[in-house]
Amino acid sequence: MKTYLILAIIALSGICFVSCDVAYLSPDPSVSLTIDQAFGDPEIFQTYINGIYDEHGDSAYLTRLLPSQDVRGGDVVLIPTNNFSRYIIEYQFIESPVNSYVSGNLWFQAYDVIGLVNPALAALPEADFEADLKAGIEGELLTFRANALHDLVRNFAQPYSAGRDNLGIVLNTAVLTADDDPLGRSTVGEVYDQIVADLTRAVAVMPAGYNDASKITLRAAHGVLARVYLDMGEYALAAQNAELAHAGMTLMGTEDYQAGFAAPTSEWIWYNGKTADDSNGFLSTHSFWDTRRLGYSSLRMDMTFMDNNFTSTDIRGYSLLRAAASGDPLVSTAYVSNKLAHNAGFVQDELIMRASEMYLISAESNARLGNNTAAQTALFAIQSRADVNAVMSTNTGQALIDEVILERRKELYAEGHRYYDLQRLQLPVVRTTEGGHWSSQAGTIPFNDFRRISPIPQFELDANPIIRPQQNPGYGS
Amino acid sequence: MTAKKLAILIFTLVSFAGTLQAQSIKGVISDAQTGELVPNANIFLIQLARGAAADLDGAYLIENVPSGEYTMRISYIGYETIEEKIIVRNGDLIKNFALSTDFQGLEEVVITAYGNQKKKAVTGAATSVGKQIIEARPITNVADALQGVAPGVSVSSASGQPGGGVNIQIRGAGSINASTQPLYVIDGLPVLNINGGNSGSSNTMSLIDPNDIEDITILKDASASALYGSRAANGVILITTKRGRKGSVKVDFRAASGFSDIAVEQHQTINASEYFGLYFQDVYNDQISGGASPADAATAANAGAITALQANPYNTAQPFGAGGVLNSGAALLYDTNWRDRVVSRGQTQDYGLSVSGGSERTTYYMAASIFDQEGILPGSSFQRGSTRMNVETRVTDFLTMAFSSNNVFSEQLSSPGGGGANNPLRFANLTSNVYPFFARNAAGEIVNDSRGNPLYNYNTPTVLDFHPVGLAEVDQFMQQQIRSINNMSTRFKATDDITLRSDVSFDVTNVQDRVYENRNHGNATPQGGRATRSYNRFTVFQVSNTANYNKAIGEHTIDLLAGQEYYSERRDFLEAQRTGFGNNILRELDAATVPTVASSSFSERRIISYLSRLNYGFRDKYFVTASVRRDGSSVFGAGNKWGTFGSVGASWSISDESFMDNVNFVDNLKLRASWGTTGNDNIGFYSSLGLLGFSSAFDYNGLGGSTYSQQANPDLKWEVNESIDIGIEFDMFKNKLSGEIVYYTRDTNDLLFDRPIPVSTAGFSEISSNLASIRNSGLELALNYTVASTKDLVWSVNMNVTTLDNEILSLPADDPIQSGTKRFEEGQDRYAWFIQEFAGIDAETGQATWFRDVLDAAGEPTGEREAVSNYAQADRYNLGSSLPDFFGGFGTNVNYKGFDLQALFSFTIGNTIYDNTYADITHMGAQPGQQLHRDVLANVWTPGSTTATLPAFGINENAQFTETSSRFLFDGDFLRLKNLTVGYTLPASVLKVIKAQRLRVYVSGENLLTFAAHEGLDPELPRSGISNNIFPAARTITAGINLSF
Repeated sequence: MKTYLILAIIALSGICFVSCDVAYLSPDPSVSLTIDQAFGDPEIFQTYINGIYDEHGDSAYLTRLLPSQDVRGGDVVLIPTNNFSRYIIEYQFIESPVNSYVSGNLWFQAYDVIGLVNPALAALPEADFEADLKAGIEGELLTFRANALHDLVRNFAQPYSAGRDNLGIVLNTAVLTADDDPLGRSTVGEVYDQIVADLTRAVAVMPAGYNDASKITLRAAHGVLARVYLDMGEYALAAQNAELAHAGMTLMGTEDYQAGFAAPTSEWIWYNGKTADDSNGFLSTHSFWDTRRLGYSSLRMDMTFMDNNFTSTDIRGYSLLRAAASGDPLVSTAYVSNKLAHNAGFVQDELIMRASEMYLISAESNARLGNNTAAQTALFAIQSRADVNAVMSTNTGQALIDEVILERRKELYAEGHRYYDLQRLQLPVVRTTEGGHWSSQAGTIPFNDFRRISPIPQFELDANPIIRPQQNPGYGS
Repeated sequence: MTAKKLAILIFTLVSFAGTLQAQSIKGVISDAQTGELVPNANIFLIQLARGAAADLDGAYLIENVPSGEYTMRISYIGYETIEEKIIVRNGDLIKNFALSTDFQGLEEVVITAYGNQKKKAVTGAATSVGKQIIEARPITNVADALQGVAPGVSVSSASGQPGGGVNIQIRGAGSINASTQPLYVIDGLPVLNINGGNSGSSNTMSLIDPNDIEDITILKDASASALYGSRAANGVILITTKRGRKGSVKVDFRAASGFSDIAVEQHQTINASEYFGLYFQDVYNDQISGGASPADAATAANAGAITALQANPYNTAQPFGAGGVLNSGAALLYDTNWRDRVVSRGQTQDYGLSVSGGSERTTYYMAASIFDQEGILPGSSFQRGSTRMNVETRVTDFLTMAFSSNNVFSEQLSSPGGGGANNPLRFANLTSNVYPFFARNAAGEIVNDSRGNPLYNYNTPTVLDFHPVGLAEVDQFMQQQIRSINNMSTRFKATDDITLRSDVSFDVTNVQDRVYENRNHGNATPQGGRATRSYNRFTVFQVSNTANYNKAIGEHTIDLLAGQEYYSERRDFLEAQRTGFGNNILRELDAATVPTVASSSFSERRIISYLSRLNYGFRDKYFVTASVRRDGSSVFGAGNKWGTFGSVGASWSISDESFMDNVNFVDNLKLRASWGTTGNDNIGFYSSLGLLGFSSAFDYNGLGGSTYSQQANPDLKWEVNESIDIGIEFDMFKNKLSGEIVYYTRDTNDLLFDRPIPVSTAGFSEISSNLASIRNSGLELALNYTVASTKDLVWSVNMNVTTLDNEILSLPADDPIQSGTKRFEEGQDRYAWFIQEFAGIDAETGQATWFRDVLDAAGEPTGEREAVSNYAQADRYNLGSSLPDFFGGFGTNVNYKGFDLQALFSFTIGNTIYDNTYADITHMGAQPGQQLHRDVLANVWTPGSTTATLPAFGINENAQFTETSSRFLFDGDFLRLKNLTVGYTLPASVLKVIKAQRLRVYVSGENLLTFAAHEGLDPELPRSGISNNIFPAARTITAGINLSF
């Protein structure tokens, strides 16, 4: 019996000795592949592209970027209660390297997207896609990178209009790893050159005819390029690309307009798609614009702006606002807007770009180029859709430009554009208590105030010695 | 003839021959108090330097004893050591001994890794906590029993959630990203300590019934723990459960019941009229300075306050008149003290029954228990049912088999919001008294539902729609765990000197979360209700084979161990979620309409180990221990999977030297020193790989998504802890005073750390790395003094104190690494705060200010500092540390006739804590509806004030104050009466009547008193020192009975 027992024990020990090889100590993960498997198989490659769309639509990127722009633009008022202090920092222009959304999440998320794009772009030439599909993917990736760089450079650097030689942002187009040396800031000019190069290549290679606006299409690439050229003062190219972006599209009707921007319409060029099992819920932009206290319900329209700029027949004016019932605390401070009405469960697609913006880029660019008729026509397309009584503008020169800029405020409010316009046009932020702003925040913040540009976030400064001495002026460390 | 038979024959012959020349001594060892036989006691003839161990029946036999006069020493863990002079001549001597229970912690044998050892032979740092310490107090979690009783061990409750987690650090935290929790080993099996879950905080150690525990030994340095090598970097907690003893059946029954409330009074806040008044006054002052008449100003201010607060606690819309005087007839409708309404009295019940005993060949211990606790926050509770069986049988005279099995079911309910922003305590701390508990109509009357029950008021703007009591009635945050720990051990005595042992163990834990968030209020309102079910299964399978060679040759004793182990840990996870419920009655997924989550994953870690240890003793005075262990772990890069760890230690029993013979006041004196290394692989299972992660979280618009989730680091390797321990242990004045003084260092090299990298470069902000070196070092002192030891009175006092220094020895680059509110910098303490420094209130403007460096023309600091009122411009500075200078405990045990009293205090001195709650409730008007501290009534800036500690009050006027700064750092010193127990054991005369062996009744209180330098929160915080409205510790008072027959 003892002999058998000894044998049994030795046998038991042997089980392990036999299996003690490298394979035994290298179990495979069950929900991950190794990264070198990502680009060999087209189907896996496609999931990787889908993952970039998801990252772009993250509640920390797109759907927080839009309100954080609007609360700084002057036309939007922030109600600070019951939203866990979101946007309070940006609204008050008290960002610091450690406390704000813009300097934190945007920096992180946009570079995350760029970090996803770069290895895919490098691997794409070898990938086993059909030529058409491959060209489309190249365009998507390039547009993602250009759009992320554009988001970054407009928040962390002086506008292009203030000079090409100002410090821009980190320009990263290579496949870098933790072992590579950190990069410092390029100039604004170098960053815009890269954005233009990416987008020019994108529109050159992308096939036409794809119209799924939940993806980056040729239209969307042209649209981003139009925005970029507008920043750069390249008005002919801006107008040309804006028109290519909306060519053949129908502006949404007034019924769609008044139903709220919760689902794609005929004029949506690019949006981030959401589904019931994959939405940003309470953190969606619409939750902050909610009028019924189902979401965070934190954003309101400046009352002076709404009172003074819309005719009574303008569908974007009072008819989009919730009627002011007496004693309702929600409307006592400023106006609630139904423009970003939400769906059940806050499951709604997040708008990134629509044709109306392209009409207005075209209008502004043509006005600046002196093409008055083209400008007036494009402007009228927007004005007449909003107001049945609208009359084609006869303004020219600066008056026409001013009219277009005002139309941008009216047409695009709550879509994250106004603050970028103030930067591009080097205008002050103006807020009044009459409009509903906090008394402490009433007043003017001139263009040259250091707070108009976000600080490079502390975590970047801490991890990157090259950028550490390159903080934007005015901020501590 | 087999070898065994031959051996027996030879042995018999030798024994027979021996009796011709010398005699034998034999007898039985029993318990002086109970009369029970004590198995396994050590009997030692000092002059012959040899002895024997008693068998399971308490019987011992020492043969071949020449005639003469000897000193016999009888010792056993948990009992007082006896030394007695005997004379042997003319034949065998029968000598029985009765051991008394040891109240002075003088245990002679220490349970160690893979065996046990005489205390004086132990070369490493091992502290034993006997069952008396555990048994006297009713505790839920084993870890609670360790607080304040063992030097070098710091314990903090992660939360007061019933069944919640407990953090233990042994000799400081060596790791930053890898776990700093010690390894738990129960009866030889390393068990998983799983914290967390979807529905709240849980901790698998809370599944062990403390009453099943015979002994807890804490292994603190590498010499003691090296044999657990790969997972012992943070120390080891060795738990030995109770075994049966041969003899009559013993039945133990216990019952206890108690209640609990919040242990520490929270911040003092202001009442509804004060709160309303502040907002009224702010608008009123604005109006007056704007030129309004007092009457108009009052009207506007009443309206303004009501608008800002979205509530009016008064019976009139115009509560205040000119000058802020209460109008006649105006009265408060309510003044809601949310903490009183949310925090309620908890209840505890505990019942246990165990049966133990044994026959010639077999001993057994069987136990079952039920524990039921209702927490102090709404909806929180914990129930545990546990069974254990330990059986050991001698199959043949050379083969012993033991089986132990522990099965537990637990159910934990957490409050809605758990640890998140909506947790009930945060709600209660942050919601002003101006909001009603029940919903009220425009006339101020309470609104009832159709059945006449009052509706809760969910309109509380600070945390809107999260009434904690209301949610607790309809939401469900349940975690159920089923755990089964099983171990089959085979011991095979191959020869007299060689024992082979094989253990096959598995530890399976099923953790099942059931979460329902209702459709009407709270988080899941927009989705129309949400239910989540998740199933986690953790499986540990381990095979351990060891061979032991044990031999005494003359004055030399050799104990050599060699072994091999195989360990695998698997995690299997499944989760499903649906939203869209039609009612709040049915909460299962089938009752919902929209599928939102379905996910699963599986992960595994594997370790292969080879181990060896030599214990060598010479003349029972000089001892050396050396061990080596080689581990291969699957979590590291291909070329770095294997690590080799080892230790060397020595001890010297000075009191056994002849030159000490005349030093009568010293009973025992031992010097020990050791060095050793242990490894840590406690990081993500696939941390070295570059990963393309797939998850529904990366899906886009209905299309499957993946993402580059982790950059590869093939160089990732073992984190290595290198420890040095030098100690003196002593017993003096006839064992009245005993204690130890220890100096230790613990260097962690190749520290596993998620190194921050610039996201702008690689798209990642961190990468798993072997980064830095950190040293934890300090002194440990433990003393125990027996004040009196008479027949009627046994009284002892004890204390222990630990100093802990932390220093970052090296970082990969010269640059410090910022991590939250701390900064890692060479030569600095890793717990040092590095945040903005508050510079006081600007006497001119009433604004908060912070410091920044004054820079010269070249942009370099001049050494001067200036105060700025824009927080964005402030610089960060080193501002103290959340690491205490020292911590420890002291206590006393008194037994007077039948009465016993135990008191235990714990303390922490010299740390700084960050009080987030205080920041939240000094928002100075910026957050209308959010509660305010009483300080705002007295210390607020007003024009001309120079002594203000808070900025000017104003609605939406002053958001810059509550930003992270030294303003909210406070002294963290505290002293806590951790436990006070008073018991009475009935005298034997009474027990005879009721045919019982023992009957004790007691009352015990946990966390009875807390004295803290900074009041308003529980000072027992995690090491990070940041308070965050965590579930507060409970003060519990329990009455119970222990009955044995």
